[in-house]
Amino acid sequence: MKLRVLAFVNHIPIKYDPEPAINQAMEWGIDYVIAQGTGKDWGPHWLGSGRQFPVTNFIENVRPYMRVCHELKIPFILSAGIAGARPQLSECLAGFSKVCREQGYRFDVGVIAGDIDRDYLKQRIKAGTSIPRMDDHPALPAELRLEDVDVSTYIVAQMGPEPIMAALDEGVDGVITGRALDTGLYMAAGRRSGVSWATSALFGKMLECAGVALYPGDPSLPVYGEVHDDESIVLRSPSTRAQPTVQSTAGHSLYERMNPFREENTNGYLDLDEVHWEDIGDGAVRVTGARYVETPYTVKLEGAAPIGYRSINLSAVREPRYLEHLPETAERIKQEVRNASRFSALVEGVDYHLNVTLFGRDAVLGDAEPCRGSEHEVGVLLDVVAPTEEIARDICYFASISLQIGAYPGRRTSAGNVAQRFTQMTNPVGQAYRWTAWHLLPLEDPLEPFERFRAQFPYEEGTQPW
Amino acid sequence: MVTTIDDVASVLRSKNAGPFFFTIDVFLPDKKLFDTVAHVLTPERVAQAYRVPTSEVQGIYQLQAALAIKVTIRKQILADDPGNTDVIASQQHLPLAWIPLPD
Repeated sequence: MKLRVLAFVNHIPIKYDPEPAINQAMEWGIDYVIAQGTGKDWGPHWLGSGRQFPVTNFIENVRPYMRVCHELKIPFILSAGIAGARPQLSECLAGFSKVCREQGYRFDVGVIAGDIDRDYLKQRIKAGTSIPRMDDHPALPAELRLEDVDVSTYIVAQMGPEPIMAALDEGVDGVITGRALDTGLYMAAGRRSGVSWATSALFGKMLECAGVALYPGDPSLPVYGEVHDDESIVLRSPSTRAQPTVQSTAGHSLYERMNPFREENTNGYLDLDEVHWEDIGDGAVRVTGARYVETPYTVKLEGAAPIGYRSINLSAVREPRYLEHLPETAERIKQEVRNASRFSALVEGVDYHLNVTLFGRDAVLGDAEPCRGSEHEVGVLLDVVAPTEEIARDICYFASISLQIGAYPGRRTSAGNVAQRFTQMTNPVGQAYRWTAWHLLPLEDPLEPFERFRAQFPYEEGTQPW
Repeated sequence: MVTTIDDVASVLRSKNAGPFFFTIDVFLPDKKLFDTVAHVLTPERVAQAYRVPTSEVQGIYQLQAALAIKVTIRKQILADDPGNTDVIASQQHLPLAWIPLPD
């Protein structure tokens, strides 16, 4: 046996008592505990703002699994902080320290930031390095430009396995990273255990989302994976609530991917064309047949920049006559805002955006919605993005009053047209952001741009040892 | 009653594939239905269901081992952008779900 890993996802709240599953995995034997906690699914706001999901979520998800590392004296590899930039990583490290303090654990931790220094990046661009977009989309410049770097509040990159391996090779008890390639966490363990690139990458692919690969799929559940001497992978569920099946594990290779046969990594791609999944009984699935094609080394850059402040208003319309006239009402409200003298210096679509979303009427599928016109009430979301919070709130207020007391044909509701959900008619929800970078940065040295340091946990409260 | 993909799929889900594309996974219970659905899902038929040009359909993939078909489409409105209503694209499987199957 080359490698045994207990995998979970550290941003998914634990629903069930994790102890029975953890004890089962400890009985099987564990070499590494690995959990990803970064991702870009929730949009550019998190990276751009530096904000974090409640850190308590990270703390309580990680806590039970750290007992394994403490008792078995085995290493952990965690990526942390959703967007995984410096502020989120710092918050998670403070949370990790809290866990250690409260549980009485002591860990020597290798910490690796995912942030890419702005000046470093600009030097690379000035030196003529081509940094092409990773996905073909008109919202992205074909090549990363100096101005994209300048406007971004944070820029991170998905580090590969090498910085993690370098930290572990220094003899730390575990590693916590900022933004990282999910599968790279597992590839680091695989490569350190003498597993091929191909099998390490497939192993990471199978384990990265933990219980999503089980049936029934549940990312709050852990998964247990083995790499045998013949490089076959065996997946098991330490929890009795779900099991790996051929369909659940094979199907997981589709998850969140554009192309199920090709998984891009830093130094190549995993080719899943000939991967074979097999039920070997006892609730276990064996996976074999990974191939790996090496390509020049790149890391994916991610950057976000603010587009303005957002303010929203939510109300509902039940009055049938108003429902009938809602489509032109949205246009009327926009028109009234455009014509208001206090907004005359602002151009809609340039300086500000006012969007009227009618929930209950094609809001989710838009033009692709085939079912129309059967609703008896509609939720109206006024969504304003403007240069300052004050302007955003003012436009939102203006529009909500226009919705509330504006005229429509046959109107009898002269005391008010809608049911307001919140007493705060204008609800500021922070800044809105756009992606500035989703580009591939070539690296000669996979460690180069990632700041790495070593810290003892728990650290003294009120201090920050990095 | 016309039979649709919705009537026969065992798993039917949509999610972001990165911020710029979303992807729909259809799992079928047997090889016969897999073949039927695979035959129906052409780029042209998908584009028609989503009311987008065919060029917006990035790919259609068949994974026999899982009896699954994947359809990847370029996102028209991105998360956080004004007008976005589905940040992680979890409800975008439905136009595909309602595509009818041949008798």
